[in-house]
Amino acid sequence: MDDDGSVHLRFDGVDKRYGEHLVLDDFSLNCEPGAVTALIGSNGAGKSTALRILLGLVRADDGAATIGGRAFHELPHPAQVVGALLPDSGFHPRQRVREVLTSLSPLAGADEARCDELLERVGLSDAARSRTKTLSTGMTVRLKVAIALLGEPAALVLDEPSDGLDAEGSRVLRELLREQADAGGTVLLTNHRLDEVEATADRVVLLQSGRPVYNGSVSSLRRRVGVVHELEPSDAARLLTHLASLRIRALGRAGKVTTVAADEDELRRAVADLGLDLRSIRSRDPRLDELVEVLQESAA
Amino acid sequence: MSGIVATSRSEWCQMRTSARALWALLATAALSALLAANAALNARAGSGAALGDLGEAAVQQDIVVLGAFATIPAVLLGVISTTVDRQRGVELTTALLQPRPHVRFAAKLLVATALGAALGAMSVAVASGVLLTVLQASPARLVLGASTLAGALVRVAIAGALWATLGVAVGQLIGRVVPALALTLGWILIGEAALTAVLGSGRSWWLPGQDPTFALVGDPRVQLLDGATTAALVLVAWVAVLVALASARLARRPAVGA
Repeated sequence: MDDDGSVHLRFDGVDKRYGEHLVLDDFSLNCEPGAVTALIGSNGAGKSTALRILLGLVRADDGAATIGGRAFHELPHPAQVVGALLPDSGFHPRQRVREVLTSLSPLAGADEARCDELLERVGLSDAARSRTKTLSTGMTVRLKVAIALLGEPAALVLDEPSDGLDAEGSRVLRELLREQADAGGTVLLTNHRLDEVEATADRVVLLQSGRPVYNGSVSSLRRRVGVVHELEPSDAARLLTHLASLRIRALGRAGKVTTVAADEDELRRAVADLGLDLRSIRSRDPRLDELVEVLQESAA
Repeated sequence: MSGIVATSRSEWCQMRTSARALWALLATAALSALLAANAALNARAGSGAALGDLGEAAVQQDIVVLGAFATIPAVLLGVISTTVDRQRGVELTTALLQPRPHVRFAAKLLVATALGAALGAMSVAVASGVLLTVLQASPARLVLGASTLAGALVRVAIAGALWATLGVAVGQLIGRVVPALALTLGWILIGEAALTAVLGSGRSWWLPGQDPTFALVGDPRVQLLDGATTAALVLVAWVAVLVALASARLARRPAVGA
């Protein structure tokens, strides 16, 4: 932990193999305080395994994962340093929502007032006396977020926190993560909802086959990749075939052709080569999912 | 608050608020009352199924010692508190706040041991209460002294504590709810009896559910070496071995989860 109470989350050359499958391959990452870092990638890319190694739930074959310079289990007051959320953590079905927090509060050095404050913060005050077995998926996630925040930790490690959250829940989560980062906290999360990542993360790390293929901000990735062009030609199918022969990646839908990172002049030439009419051409910033596709293809 | 105290406190809160402790106490009390009432009423009526005359000290002691039945709910509570928590992801939730697996295991052992002792003591108290109630409506008198009753209570409490600890260790070793419960109940209800039949009388003194438990709780018919202390030591040895095995497994495989 730094002198100012902030915490770095670090992976140094982490390898993890399940049988023949290499899940993490010399994976290194330093999550800085004051920022939300999102690990993204396809299923099986190694995102959750990385978080579990950081939290001491899975052993790395090689390398080290540390929180404030120490392994999680070596922290003197772990819950006050890092709060965590995992999709498969659970509760006793007969416990009431508030009881879940009060029963875990001794582990986090929290008092009952803190439990009530957190219930209010995550919007579960009205459900405080409900049994956990009656909670919706979104409410369950909110309760898990409250548990992660029990010890007022300097860092948060969240695996798929948006799963099951409705629009209001997502908004509350985004605010919480922003507050945490703005207060100098360190946030590392995985999320397959890239719209949420785009709205929350300061930095994205794209994992592919256990290695980071991009590590930086969404805006710098946009600058690197370029713009999206949406074309409306008189014959979209022919244009798609032609673009494929020119090795220009394009998608066709509803009579339109969409390209990422292609040169506009080259596209216009391709349309002209075929003698097609170009009814419209529009440029826009690519969405994160489009950027990820481009990165994944170029990495492959 | 330091690790083990805070974790034990949290474990106890979870045991209490999940109503697991309450259900174990209620079920044990109800079954102890039924068993003791059945034995006492049969003895009063002098029926063929009676242990003997209700006025005899040995019969009264047998009725009180029926409280040792609590060792079964105690071991099941130990098994369930470990395996259900693992399968439902509760252990994982706790692990995210207390990452040291041996501290979590020790806290679970402490709480289960305390609850096992409570189940044992309460079961003897209930059986004694039933005996006194039946004696009220009988010409026989209570011939057991207060020290005998207190001794039975302490012995059964110790047996309950040891069996609950054993249950936690078994749960930790096996991991899944159904196999752990099946193995535990199968051992208690069938395994030990079958092994005793194979070994022959006098050679089953080392099996946990046989002579050691009966001698520890004060069954006058069991003549195990020099009595309750040896019996307790045999049970403690079982507990020590299983806890050591469970700890070793925990050190090799710290991962938790549903």
